[in-house]
Amino acid sequence: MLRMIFQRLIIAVPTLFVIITLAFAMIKVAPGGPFDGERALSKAVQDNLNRQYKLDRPLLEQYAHYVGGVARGDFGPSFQYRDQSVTGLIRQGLPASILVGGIALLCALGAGLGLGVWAAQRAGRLADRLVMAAAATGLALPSFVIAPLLALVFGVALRWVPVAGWGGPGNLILPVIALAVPYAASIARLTRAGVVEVSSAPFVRTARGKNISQTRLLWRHILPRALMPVVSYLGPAAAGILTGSVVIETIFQIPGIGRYFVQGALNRDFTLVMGVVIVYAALIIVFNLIVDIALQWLDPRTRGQST
Amino acid sequence: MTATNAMTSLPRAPMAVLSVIVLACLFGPFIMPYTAEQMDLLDTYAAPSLAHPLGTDALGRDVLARLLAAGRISLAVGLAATLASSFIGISYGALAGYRGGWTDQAMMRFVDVVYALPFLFFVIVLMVVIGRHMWLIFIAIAAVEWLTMARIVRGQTVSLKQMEFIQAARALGLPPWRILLRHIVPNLRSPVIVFATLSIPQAIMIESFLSFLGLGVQEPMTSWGSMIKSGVVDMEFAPWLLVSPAVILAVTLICLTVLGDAIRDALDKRASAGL
Repeated sequence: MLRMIFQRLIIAVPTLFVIITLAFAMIKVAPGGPFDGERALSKAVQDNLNRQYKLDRPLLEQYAHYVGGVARGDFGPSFQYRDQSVTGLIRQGLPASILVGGIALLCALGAGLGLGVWAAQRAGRLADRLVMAAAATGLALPSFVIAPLLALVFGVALRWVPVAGWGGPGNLILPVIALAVPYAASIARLTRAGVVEVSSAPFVRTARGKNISQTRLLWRHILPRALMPVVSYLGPAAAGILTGSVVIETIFQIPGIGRYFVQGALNRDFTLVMGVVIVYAALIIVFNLIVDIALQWLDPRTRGQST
Repeated sequence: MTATNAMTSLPRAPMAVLSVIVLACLFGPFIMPYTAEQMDLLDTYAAPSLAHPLGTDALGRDVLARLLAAGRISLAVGLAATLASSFIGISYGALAGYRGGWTDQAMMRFVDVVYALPFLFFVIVLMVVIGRHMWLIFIAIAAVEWLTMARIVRGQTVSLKQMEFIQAARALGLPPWRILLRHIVPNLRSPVIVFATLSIPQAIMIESFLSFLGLGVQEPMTSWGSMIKSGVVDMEFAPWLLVSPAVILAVTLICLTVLGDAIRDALDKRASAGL
């Protein structure tokens, strides 16, 4: 187990390094500098700006400086928000993003598991078919279609919850639902398929024959095996929720890093965009690592081994 | 053959709805009294009426006309990007699977690494860096979508390679490119069709996502994603600007997904029945 974690960490470092290098290369390849405005700046001002942001040094030195900075958690100065560092902006935005994304992931997991098990126990009946049809619909709809429609119905028309903004718990409701729906749908499908499949396995028949209670059968015997696909889906789901949060934060005006990402992308604020991408990549890598560890631990065949 | 058989047993309802949408987008603009760009500054934000069944937008443009024009772009991007990503994925996967050995290892390791990246973010960055062109959207979407196709095709190729008829072809001394083109690729069509059908809605979704963020299709052209984007802005007093593109995009995506699932089930059943 420890060895597996160690191996994964060894792979994670070059992956992050590739991302950082790609990020740097893209900044440099981009046509036009960050200070190309409506009005051409005078040569002296341009030179001063370049010196301040170290853009007058040789490329290799700039690269070493960027990598060194990122390693210390410093993503350089923002090109657009003049007085702020990218690290500072990300630190401001991260709590809101993690709050919304984390709650959405938990809700998706809770709703998906519940509905999936519920449908599996009624496999083939009307309830099952209804849940699966709802899941197919939820799966086909991206967050940026669900979110504005939810805001329109529950925010503008019914006025049950605030349309957008940040501060109270009421502001969390719509973003979390909009983010969670597609992933809850996926998890429900995977759970249902897993439970239905495992329920007919020989070891479950044996357990039934020993006359144990339904609850114990479900929790001790069926679920651990049935949930393997769900657990491995959590990696991509987390990545998807991150992607979705970019849209959700824009629609609901949540002050998270996704909104900085979109604004940075539209403003050509390269260091900000790159900083956010690197943070996202690191989050995804860490999450995938956790998922792999969970999978190993869930599968009794690999639990005791040290591979 | 299995593929054409599957086509005939598709669910009717989504097929019909989808046909209506596609035909309307294709031929609708020819019979509409307004064009998508035609402005009427005296009639902005008009609520749906007989003259404008879906209302007008901030510049007095007819929403229905724009919806159809946008649909052409969304559907075209979805189809073209799927074709491009299928082409890349099939070539890459078949080559990796057929060569085997360290070539296969290296090629699939690369796919794994790219798969683990938040690739959509890189696409966005790419669009920021290079600029916003129609063809870039195709490339961007194809760049995200080919990975799964490559994995599927590689897996199939590896198992096909063991079959007698491929070994016979090799024993006959056929050159590898001929074995790949004439014997392996044609036998990949079931999984390829299934996955390609399922990636059309994905591609439309990514295009709408980019357009929604303002990074995709640019004015005066429009797509469903960019219409949703401007609909969100005026949602509180002109909800029809949001509802019609959101609903038509949702309906299209649901129909395409249901069809893709149906095709998969139809082909799978035949596959498990011994084909």
